[in-house]
Amino acid sequence: MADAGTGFAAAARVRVQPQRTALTLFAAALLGAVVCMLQTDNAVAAAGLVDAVLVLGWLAAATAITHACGGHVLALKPPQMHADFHQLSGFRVEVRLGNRARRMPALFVTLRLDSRTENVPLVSPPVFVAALPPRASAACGWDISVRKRGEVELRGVRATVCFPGSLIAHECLFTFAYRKLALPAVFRLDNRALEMLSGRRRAESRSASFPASVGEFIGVRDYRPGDNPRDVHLALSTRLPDFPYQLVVREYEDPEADNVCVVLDTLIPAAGDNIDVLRYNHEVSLSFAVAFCRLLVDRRYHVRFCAVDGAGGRIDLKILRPTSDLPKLEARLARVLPVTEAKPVARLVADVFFYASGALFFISLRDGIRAPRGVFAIEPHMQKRLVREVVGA
Amino acid sequence: MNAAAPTPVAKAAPQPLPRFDGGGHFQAALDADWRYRALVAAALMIAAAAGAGLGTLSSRAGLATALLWSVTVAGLVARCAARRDGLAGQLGRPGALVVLAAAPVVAAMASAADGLEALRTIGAAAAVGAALWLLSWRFPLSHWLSAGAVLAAGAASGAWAAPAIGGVNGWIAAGLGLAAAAIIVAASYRRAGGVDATVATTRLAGLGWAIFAWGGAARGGFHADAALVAALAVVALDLWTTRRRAFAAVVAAGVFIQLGALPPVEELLRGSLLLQPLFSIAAFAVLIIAGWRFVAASQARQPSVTYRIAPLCVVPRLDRGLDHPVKISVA
Repeated sequence: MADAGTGFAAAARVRVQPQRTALTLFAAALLGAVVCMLQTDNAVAAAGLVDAVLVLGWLAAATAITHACGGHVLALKPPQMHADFHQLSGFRVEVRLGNRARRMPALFVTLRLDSRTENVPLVSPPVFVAALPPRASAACGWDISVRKRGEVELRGVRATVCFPGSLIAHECLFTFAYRKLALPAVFRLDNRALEMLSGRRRAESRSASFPASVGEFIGVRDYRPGDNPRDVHLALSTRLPDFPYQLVVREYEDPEADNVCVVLDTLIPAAGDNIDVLRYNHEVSLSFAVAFCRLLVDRRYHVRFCAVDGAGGRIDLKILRPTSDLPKLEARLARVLPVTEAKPVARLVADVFFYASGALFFISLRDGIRAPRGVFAIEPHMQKRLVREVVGA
Repeated sequence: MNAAAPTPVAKAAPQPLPRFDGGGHFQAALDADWRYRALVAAALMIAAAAGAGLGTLSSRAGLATALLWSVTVAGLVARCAARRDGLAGQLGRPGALVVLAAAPVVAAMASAADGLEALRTIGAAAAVGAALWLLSWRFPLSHWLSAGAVLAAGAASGAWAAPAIGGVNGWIAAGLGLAAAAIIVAASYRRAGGVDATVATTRLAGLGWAIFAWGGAARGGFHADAALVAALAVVALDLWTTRRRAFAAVVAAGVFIQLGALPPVEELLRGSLLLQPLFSIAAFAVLIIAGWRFVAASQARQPSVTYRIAPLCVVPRLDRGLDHPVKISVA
């Protein structure tokens, strides 16, 4: 155990708590002793008096020890927490408990962490420190894993000092305030997710005139009517069984100039049969949206993310740099609420479709929707198929 | 505005249902600590030696009472000190083994002053323990078979006690026997595990002891109020010690064993009064040492806690979960 050094704070409040069990036992032993004292000529009463005195002696000694080694000598070093965390991944809260007394050890200390989410108090399991020598400190920690996004508040630590059998306990309240955000879970997507881009941008942006040779070769695909005949890959096409009726063309891209729009569906009606399914799909789609944007940004695509927030307003973020823009997106999506009316979502899709020059992906909460022409819907079953791994699960 | 605040998720949110999953760990830690169990058994045996008047119990109350007392005390020792099969209160084979070892020893402590007569009590206690141990290989017994056997034993003991006591008191004793048997069957019944013969037998012995020793049936009379008080005390203690996680139950068992063998008017402890404080202090000291080990094992009580917060969560395999657990565990 290290010495209790700097950074330790005394308890904000020390309270003496009566221990009901011990008090009941004390009362029973006292009553038994009185009754036995009145009947000392009886052998059983005499033996009972000895037992009662032994029990009372133990209770008194335990109370004296609790008072001498009480909570007024304890100090706590608050946890160092800077970053938010992702749901399912968990995080650790570590504090140091110090004993400022010069001679007396702190005995039978129990620590509990006070946390709160959605105004629901969560009391942690206790960490038990049997004995803490004078001028020493001990590390105590809790691992917290949260399966829901949103805020988690760490409010303080409660230390209780109670020697077994004591009639009282000292409860020390060490306060600190940290608001941590549980970000959406981290999904790792399969590289097949990039195949969704294949042809879709060219097909939708054929009218945009930029020479294909400027772009970067990314692969080949089947020929579709309207493709530039100069892009036909002759060497591969001749190997196809149905050549010359089946052809493949080279595909190019220019990531620097490209623009991918990701629109998140947040529509969950107020009533309906499959509300639970939609809510669950909503939670998954948030994590999928972040993962999809991360995948695109890592490949140097310029991504524009749009959604309607049920709390009011639209989310419209340009994601260019993974280190700075993605955390903003995660923090925003950690607080997003679903909308109950379809009109704002439809209006958003129409607006984005009108202004966007690149491919448009609509992350949907429902299977089998009819997306407008030029909009590619990523439905829930497709999202789940593209998730290779859920980090921290 | 299309705000849906508070959202449906939040609407279902405040359901803090802490699921403490440390009870099993605590029980396992106690089971793994053989020193703790040995200390508890030693403390209770010291208390039994003192409580039986240092071998004079059978000469004062009769061999049958001494036998019933021995089996009752052995049952309490088994509940407090034997390794458990689970948390449901079943003693199983380890409990039967403790009864097999403890019952003859307690019988010897209760009847040592009787010379050769003591061998009868010791032999009978050993036979009961051996029968339970042999039966323990067949645990749990069939529900109907064990229920019928215990009910028959209760009825037989009541019918035997009724003419011996005579009059209205005899019928009260018979009714008490039947009621006791019914209570024992109900209390010993476990939905999954059947009836534990060790639990049922030691409970029945405890009630028999209450009728014989405190009710005075061994001497041909019957005091229903005293018998009832003793029966309630032994049943309450039995149920309290069945779940062994309360150390106060062990202490209460020690006090009961030390002071309750016979009613106070019998002056059982008069002959050993000079030695009683020494035995009390010895038992108390052993219990304190056991208490330290109990506190040490209690660290394993709550290693983690899970809260049910909201109806939805994202689970690893992307299946739909129905809760939103927050798990906090000690690092």
